[in-house]
Amino acid sequence: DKRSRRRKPSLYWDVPPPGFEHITPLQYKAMQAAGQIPANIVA
Amino acid sequence: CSRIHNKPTFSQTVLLQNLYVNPQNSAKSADGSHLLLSDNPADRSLFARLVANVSDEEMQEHYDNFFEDVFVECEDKYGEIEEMNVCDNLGDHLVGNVYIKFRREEDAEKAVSDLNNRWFGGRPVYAELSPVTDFREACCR
Repeated sequence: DKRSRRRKPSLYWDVPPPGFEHITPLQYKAMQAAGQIPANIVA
Repeated sequence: CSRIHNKPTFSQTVLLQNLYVNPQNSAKSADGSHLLLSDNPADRSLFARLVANVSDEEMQEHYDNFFEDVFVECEDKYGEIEEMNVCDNLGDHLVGNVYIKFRREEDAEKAVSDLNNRWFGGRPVYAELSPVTDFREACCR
């Protein structure tokens, strides 16, 4: 059975940070590594 | 612990670093930038309410929703999951860490490469393979 068991749309998955909708998560992490944006991965 | 662990080349277990943001911990932060978990306004106002007054019941509900959301998404997309745990330790390197043990190593590998290019709650996912296979023995000294 390949049907999704999801009961409702996700609140979290594939929600980008505001203002970074145009780049990929990999690009975002590369920018963090380069010091262009803060790397505060811990909330 | 020196925290210098060898990262495995193959493993059934995936580590998603700091994925779960606990509303009680978040409320303690002055900066507030990470409080935004969703671009859905209804969710934002719900979350603001949670942060303002987080009861244990609301905490449990928030956690349960998170757990289901991650479990269902990963099992649907990547393959059968044997076990999933969320770390409650408050250390920076552990807080909110999610460990997902897949039945098949291939699924874990696929999950890591795909998840590293996905967003979760306004942050990128940091995924890697973890050497942990038995969670009762996962405490290192």
